[in-house]
Amino acid sequence: MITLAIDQSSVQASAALLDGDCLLAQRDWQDDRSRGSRLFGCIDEMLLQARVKAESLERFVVGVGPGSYTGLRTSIMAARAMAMPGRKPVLGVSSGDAIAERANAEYGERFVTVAGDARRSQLWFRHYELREERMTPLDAWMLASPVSFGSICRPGFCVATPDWPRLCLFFEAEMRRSGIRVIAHSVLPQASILGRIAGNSAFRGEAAEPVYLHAAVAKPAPAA
Amino acid sequence: MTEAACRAMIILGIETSCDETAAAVTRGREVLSSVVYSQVAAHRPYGGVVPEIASRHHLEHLPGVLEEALLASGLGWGELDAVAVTYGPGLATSLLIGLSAAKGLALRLARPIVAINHLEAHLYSAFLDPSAPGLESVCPALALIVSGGHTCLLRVEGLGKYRLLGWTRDDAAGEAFDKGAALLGLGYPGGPAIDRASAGGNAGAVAFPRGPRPDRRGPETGLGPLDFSFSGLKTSLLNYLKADPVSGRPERLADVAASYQEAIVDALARGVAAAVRRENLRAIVVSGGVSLNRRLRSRLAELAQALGCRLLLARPEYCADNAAMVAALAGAGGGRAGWNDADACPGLSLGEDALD
Repeated sequence: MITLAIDQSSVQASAALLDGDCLLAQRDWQDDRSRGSRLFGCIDEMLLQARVKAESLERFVVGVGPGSYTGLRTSIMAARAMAMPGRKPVLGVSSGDAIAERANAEYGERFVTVAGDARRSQLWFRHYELREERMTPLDAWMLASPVSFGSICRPGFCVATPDWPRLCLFFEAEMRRSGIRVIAHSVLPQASILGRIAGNSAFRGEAAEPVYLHAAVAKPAPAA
Repeated sequence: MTEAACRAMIILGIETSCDETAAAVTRGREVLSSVVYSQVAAHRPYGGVVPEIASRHHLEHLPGVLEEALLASGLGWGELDAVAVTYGPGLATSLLIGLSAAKGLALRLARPIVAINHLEAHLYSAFLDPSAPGLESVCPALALIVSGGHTCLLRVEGLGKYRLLGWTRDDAAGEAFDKGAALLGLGYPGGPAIDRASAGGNAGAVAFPRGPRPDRRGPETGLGPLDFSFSGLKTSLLNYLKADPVSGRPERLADVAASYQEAIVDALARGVAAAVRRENLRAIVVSGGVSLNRRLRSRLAELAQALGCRLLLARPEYCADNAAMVAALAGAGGGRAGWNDADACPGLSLGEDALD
């Protein structure tokens, strides 16, 4: 089954073309987190490289975050639109799952806290544990202030973040203060990992909708 | 391509520039389907469009709107010749969702994208009906585009040939209606609310300002002879209501609402009349959400008759944002065809560098 996987949740966007578990092509690029305009050029390049026609795409996998709302929306809309002719399936995969898998595969971590910059002076995070060869989420996505993060984060878990440049000062201070372990650079959700997660028979899939951790409007509506 | 040569093209149009999620299928100027999901209810509590709410709703509803538009057209995906999409002006994050959908479909179907200027699409909405005259046949014409986000006058020489004659330097006319309605406690959107509240009111009861005085126009202020300004009108209403509140006085409310509406309509009509006379134009083309206003329609009809001009008004269903105008403009040969890597242009203008 030819699968196109895309993720634009972080500063590095990623797209991959897979045939089953076999990676046919992948592109990773720095995204300005506002446009997503390189996505389609990269898909064209991959289709050409793999000699696959766009009409042959049978499944679409898309990272649903957490992360950049604009990046998530443009990639999810793209996947859903590409899937419309022929009503092909669109599977949402947590971008955090891909980060946890990468932390396990590349750093050998079995217990991982995936955390990122939620803006508005908050962090988003979730805990994962390796179970039956899969990094399995142990809880729902949560928000915490930097002050409370160290006390909420489970002891013994290693933190992996896609936002190291923005959060390095905080995590370095937190490592000194509370002794938490952190992978000291960005761990990014590559599209090929998303594609493989979706290909796992145990994968149940998520709705292809962004993980919104903030309300659309910070202030309540004025009284009528 | 000429308007005639493109007549049979089947185009899927997508419009997500503000708070309407829309898709349509056209064959030339024939609208085969037009589906609009309005987000007005979601924005109403805030008295205006909230960009983040708009983006979330576009993503949630556009796939269903696209499916519905195709189903209603009776065609299949493979029968489309091109995908047309609004790329500006508008809210950046909303435009990007429409563009992503268009690019995704275009890639999958191996079809070209036609990138459409939202203002030009509005202008073309007056020509959507196959029984309407062709755009070229009424030129040179004046276009008044008047909506919640835009108010401008354009000289139209033909498809793609426009010159901006004047525009609002602050609030759009629709915005003035929204802000006025909020001050009057009439709710959102303001245009229809003030239109309703004005019924039976005396439009001459309060002498609200009609825009900048002639002595305020010139190089020193940057206000051209055909430019509009509505911010002073809103302030004038605010000051008036402080001195003479209308709450609990429905008859007075009707008078004030009618007077406020008349000030907006009068400012627009004066601009239209001055432009037609100065540019010696043959027709007046009116489009945009505010062109639904009944008083504006009747005033422009009187004006067109007095000026000896033909008046072309967009049909009510095509006045507010819709995708039929996007698709039909592409089908007529408008927009930027084959621009498959089109990016969102939130500040896109129309006619500022054309003709001259």
